[in-house]
Amino acid sequence: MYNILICDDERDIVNALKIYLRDPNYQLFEAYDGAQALQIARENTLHLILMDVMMPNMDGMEAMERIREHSNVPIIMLTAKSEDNDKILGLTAGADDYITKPFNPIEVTARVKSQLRRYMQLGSGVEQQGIYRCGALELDDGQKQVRVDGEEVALTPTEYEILKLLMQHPGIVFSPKELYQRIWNDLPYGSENTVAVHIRHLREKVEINPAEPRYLKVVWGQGYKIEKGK
Amino acid sequence: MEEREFTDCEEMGEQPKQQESETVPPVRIQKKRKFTLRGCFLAKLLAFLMFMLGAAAAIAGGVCCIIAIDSGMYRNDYEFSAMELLRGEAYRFGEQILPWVIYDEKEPLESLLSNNALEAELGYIPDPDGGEVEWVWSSYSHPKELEGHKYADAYIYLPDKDTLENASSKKFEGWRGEYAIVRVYFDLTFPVHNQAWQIYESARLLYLYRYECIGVTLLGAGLALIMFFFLLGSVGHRNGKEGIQPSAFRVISFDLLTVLTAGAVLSVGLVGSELIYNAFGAEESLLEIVLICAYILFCAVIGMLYLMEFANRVKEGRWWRHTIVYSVLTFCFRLLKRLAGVVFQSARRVSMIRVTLLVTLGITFCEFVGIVGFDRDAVAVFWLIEKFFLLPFIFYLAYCCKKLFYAGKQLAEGKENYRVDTARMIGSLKEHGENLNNISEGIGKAVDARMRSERLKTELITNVSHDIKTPLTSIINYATLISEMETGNEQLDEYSDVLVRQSNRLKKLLEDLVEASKASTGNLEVQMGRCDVGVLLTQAVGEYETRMTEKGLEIRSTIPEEPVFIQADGRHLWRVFDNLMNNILKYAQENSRVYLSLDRKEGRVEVIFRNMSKYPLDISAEELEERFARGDKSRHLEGNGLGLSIAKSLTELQKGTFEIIVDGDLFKVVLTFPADAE
Repeated sequence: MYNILICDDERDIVNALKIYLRDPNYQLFEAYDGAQALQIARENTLHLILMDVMMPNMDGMEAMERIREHSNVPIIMLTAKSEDNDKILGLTAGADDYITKPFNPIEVTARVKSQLRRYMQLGSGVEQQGIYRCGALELDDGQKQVRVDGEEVALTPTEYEILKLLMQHPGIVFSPKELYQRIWNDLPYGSENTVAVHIRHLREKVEINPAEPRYLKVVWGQGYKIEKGK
Repeated sequence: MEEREFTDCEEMGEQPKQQESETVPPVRIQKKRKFTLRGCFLAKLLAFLMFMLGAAAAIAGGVCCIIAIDSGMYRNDYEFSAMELLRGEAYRFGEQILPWVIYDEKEPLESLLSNNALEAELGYIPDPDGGEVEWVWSSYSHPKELEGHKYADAYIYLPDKDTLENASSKKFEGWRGEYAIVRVYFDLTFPVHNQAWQIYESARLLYLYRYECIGVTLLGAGLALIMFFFLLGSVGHRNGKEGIQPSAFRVISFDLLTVLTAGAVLSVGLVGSELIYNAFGAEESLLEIVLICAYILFCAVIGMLYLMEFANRVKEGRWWRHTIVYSVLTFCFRLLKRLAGVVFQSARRVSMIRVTLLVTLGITFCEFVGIVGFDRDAVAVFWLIEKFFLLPFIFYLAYCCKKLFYAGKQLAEGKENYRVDTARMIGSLKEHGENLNNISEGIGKAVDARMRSERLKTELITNVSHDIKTPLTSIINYATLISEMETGNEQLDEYSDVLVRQSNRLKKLLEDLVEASKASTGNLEVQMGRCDVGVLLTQAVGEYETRMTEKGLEIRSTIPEEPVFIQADGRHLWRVFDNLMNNILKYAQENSRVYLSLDRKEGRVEVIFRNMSKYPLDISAEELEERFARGDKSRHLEGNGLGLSIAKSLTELQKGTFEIIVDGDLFKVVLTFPADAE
């Protein structure tokens, strides 16, 4: 049983979210401003918080900072602001993930599930030889398996090789040409497009929203990389 | 009129009485002007007449008193005083008689003596220290003729003895002494009242009333003085009229009036005396006194009138304004002012360089004069003094120039709110400083207004889109919920699908709108960096290949082997490519080829997207670049027409060019960027 707090000043949105997250495993709490959210967070043991940023009384940012003082519960920001700056601000203030309004219900449920799994498995993940991690993304070179939030993802051998190369060097940008040489062991004569197509497919399998990747990032005009850290 | 005013007052007093309690006495406003003596013309006329009377009395009494004092009436007896008065007569006659006797002119002498019933004797005192008089000539033959006569002696100075030398008579031989003595005998018993008798008689009267004279003088003077002050005080006032009324002489300017008055007094005095002298000769001394008195009275009256006029003008205020002198001075002053203005204006019109040249030449000339005109030590001193005055001025000029220069520099650097302190500057420098301030103010205002409007525009769109997003979220959410419900109702499913699709379109439109506004106003953060267009193009192909293939579109890309670097912001450049690819995906003819090419041309990098349009392009390339332009005018396809506009703005933000070429069904977009140096 997971305790999930939904906090937004729009009742309609809270209700919609409640419908999406209708699940026997979830117990839902609701709050309509930051102060209420803070109150509920103090009185209950929460496993996840979905929180809007722009709210009366106390805004999401402040509430998040207050909650972070005594808890590391996962927080997903719901924001109408799609500016990059706001996302960065939210993430540095202590949010674990963000969803921009208007949101896609599938994305919401997926992100909630992902955060819950990661939070509950925290500590169980033992450092093992040949296992590469990036957030919820896990590549087990021993079993030749790729898992996202603990669930196995089926990849083609080429895709697996590409992902493995990137995960072995987190933060390093590989150009399509380089990737082609490394994976295909051949000189790329106009075959970089193949790499780009594979990466796109890989993103569709690994990421919740391939247009906004969290792990496998596209550095436009340079290449591809796996996000470092987390 | 006064009656009515009074009744008005009564009525006004009555009204509050009726309204309020009777214990409160009504306030009576005293409107009626009191009758005053000073406002009454008759009183003034009377006062003037009384003034004249008093003045006449005072003058007559005063003259009498003076005569009385002169003849010693207040200290001696009557006889002495009469003789004193007769002595004056004796002198008058003696001065006429003496030359006639000396030159032996008998006829005039005889007529004078007989007309005035006189006898005369001439003598001298031989011993200068005093002694007996030696008589040398007499008009009578026997002393008996002198009965009833009174005599008086006149001592007449004879400085020139030569006159006696030339005298025809031998009587003056052995004449010594400086004074001739003329003894005049007055016949007081003569039947006709001659002058001597008149004098004697009037002296008697004067003696008799000598104390009364003092009284009359004092009384007259007092009366005149009182009237004088009353007239001065009352002049200009008139009953029934507020303030000071101008007199009839108002038209004459005051200094002209003064000249006229003085002229009148003087001319009457001169002409009168001349006329009297011609008419009566020197004999009529009593008449002379009377006339002098009349003249003094005339002067007093004229003076009074003059003073009254003056008082009137003083009371009116600013009396000096109505004078010729003032007018002339004012005129001169105005003329000077205008002249100075003209000089100043022409000096301003002359360029600063010429003024500087003139001033320098002037100073040089002064120095030259100093050098030529003085000896060497003086030249040194003169030179020092000149420099002493000149140096601070030069320093001041340099200081001002530096300030202005600094202000100009600040302006050039874009600090449009910098202000020059022109308080301590002069002339052209001050003007220049103020001009600079005006420029900076103008620029500042324009920049401010523009910034504000740009910011407002973007803020408005951002805020509005934000506010729309919240309800839109609910719409999308609930539409999705409905579409996911298994109702078994086909129509409901269809309708909810439309809702979901259209609300998602709205969402995309909002996002594009915000982006378009930001891109077109440049209100977007651009992080320029090295970027390989070849890689980006490869990535774009990779992103879209699957979707293109689904539509039967084949991508043919020509990308050089070696990297093609430009300076750009990767994310924004991706948005450009993304939009263009999206555009192709939407509008390209199915089962056709899409050509992408990358080329380097003369230091520029050229990216070309080419595809065949699904619909006839009945719209010009320029129109397509505009916001909300759509390939199909019916607008029933997905998309909002912002894609190309955003792509163009973003390209231009990264210093690239964006060109759409439409050739039949061929749709071509050409992007060019400056190639990165390495």
